[in-house]
Amino acid sequence: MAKNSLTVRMVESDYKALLKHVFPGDRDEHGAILLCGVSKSAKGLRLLVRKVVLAKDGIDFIESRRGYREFSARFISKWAMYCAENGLAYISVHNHGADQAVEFSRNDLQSHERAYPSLQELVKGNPVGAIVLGKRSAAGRVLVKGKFLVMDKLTVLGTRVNDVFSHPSKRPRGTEDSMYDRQLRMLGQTGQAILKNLKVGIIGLGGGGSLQNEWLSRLGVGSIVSVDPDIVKKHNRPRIVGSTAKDVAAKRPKVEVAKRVAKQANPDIDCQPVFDDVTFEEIALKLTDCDAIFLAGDTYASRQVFNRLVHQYLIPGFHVGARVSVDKQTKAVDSVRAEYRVVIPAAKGGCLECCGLVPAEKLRLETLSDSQRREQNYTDSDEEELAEPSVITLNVLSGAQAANDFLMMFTGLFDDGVQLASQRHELTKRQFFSVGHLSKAECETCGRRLGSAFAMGDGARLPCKIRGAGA
Amino acid sequence: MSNLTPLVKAALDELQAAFPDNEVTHTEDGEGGANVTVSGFDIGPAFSPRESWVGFRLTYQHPEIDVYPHFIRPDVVRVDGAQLGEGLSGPMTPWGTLQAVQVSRRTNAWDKTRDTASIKLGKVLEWLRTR
Repeated sequence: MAKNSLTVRMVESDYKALLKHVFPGDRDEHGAILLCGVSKSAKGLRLLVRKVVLAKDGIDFIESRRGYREFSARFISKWAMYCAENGLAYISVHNHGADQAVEFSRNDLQSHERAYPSLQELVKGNPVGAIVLGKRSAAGRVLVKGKFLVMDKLTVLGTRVNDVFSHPSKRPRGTEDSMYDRQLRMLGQTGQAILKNLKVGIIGLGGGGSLQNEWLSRLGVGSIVSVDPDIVKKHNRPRIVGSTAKDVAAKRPKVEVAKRVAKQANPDIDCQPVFDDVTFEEIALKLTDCDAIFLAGDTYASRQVFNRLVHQYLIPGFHVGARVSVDKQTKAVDSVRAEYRVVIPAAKGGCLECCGLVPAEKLRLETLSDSQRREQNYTDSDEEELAEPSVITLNVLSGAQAANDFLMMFTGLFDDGVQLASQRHELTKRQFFSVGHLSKAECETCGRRLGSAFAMGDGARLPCKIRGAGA
Repeated sequence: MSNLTPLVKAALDELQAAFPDNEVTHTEDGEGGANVTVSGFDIGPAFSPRESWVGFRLTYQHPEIDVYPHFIRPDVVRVDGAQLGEGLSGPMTPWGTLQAVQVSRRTNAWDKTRDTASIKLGKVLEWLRTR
């Protein structure tokens, strides 16, 4: 994607509500406002739809003197001020009677030129713009620092990730690459092109993460950002795909092994190894322009950051891990569990906080050093952290579903009506469970109440450490 | 340049405002949090010396997690000669070279909309003063 690209991201429930409002079957024009968080990165600008405000016909969306319809001054003023107060971008939406290709009319473009500079002052410099919808298309323009950017696509996040373009010709086209011949027979050139244009983050390049790195690079994903502060050691070699004795001797960062493995699988892949801890703010911010994030880390703090990235930046997430419980007295294996949690930014989308998987006391304990824990009389809890101990076949079990869900989600291959539940395998019992998701309206991560981090992008702080001077 | 999170900074300001007669000092923990010491408290008639500072850590997670444990001067003893008692242990070294007795008063249902570092410090002081 070219620098200074512009994309808009929204969750499927919002998109469906928007389409239903603007296409009620009357062949008329209708309007809405999107209030968006803003995410800036080297790749460009992402606007993240936090709230959809449907304009009432005849009250908020009225006959225009200059065109066909326009938003009332009161409606514009109200929501522009809301955007100004909350650091949000203001995007107006209306529809044309188009289907797979749509564009702004001359009147639309003239109104942008006329009104948006002053509207931008109302929203205190935040981006302002417009989207025009066809039934299966979307075109957009956004004024950013005095310059109009053209929207590359509207990305709709649900069980399937659907990119909506202004014209079918805008959809990335693949090329026939004999290396992917067998995949093309399933995914088609379009599906393969989708993968090539994806940037995926992987947090934790131990057992689970190294498998995802291998699989994603072989699938043909375009870019992988891998984050891990650890090095390859003798005891983790059995699990880290592609690791060697030389890596142990050289104290090689796991992320460097991951890069080597990915490049072997796909020489054209862009790899960004980050030999650092994702719980530091400047590191977590490297993941905000990813299209998907895999978590194979083993701390509650990394889980918290991952969960927040998913919801704050509207990025689908996949959390994999395994856990073996061993009786402390007898050393017998109590249970062997492989778990996979899909986390998408939607109601009952698997928010880890709502599901009780980021407990405050565990976060607090992680802030203590080993000596502090001993001094403060903390014994190990009976519950070992997810992803310990690591046996490669357990990681395969939890990771494979995640990788295939990622594939199906982004290439649009899931059937209609598929529900993405999390999964748990109890291996000693040879049992498999689907795990439902909880959602709490008051959740500050996935909820939509004022002050929540949902779709706020750069407008909210991530729950991260700030690196001290000299650290 | 301060490397504290905005919410830790705000908590420090609130502590000073809540305890205007006591000095609030801190050192940064290198992760956005602070090791805090508030000096000049009367910790109650059960202890000698009776005046102590109280220390605690505000991690970068603040206010999402409990402010716990707290610490007081390491040379405190009970005036009745008994052991320090339940909830008190040490001395230990919570951070740097600081020696301290730990005061373990966990808030099991910590709620950041209701609990703050200042309120928690007040509760800990009340507990100490009623031993």
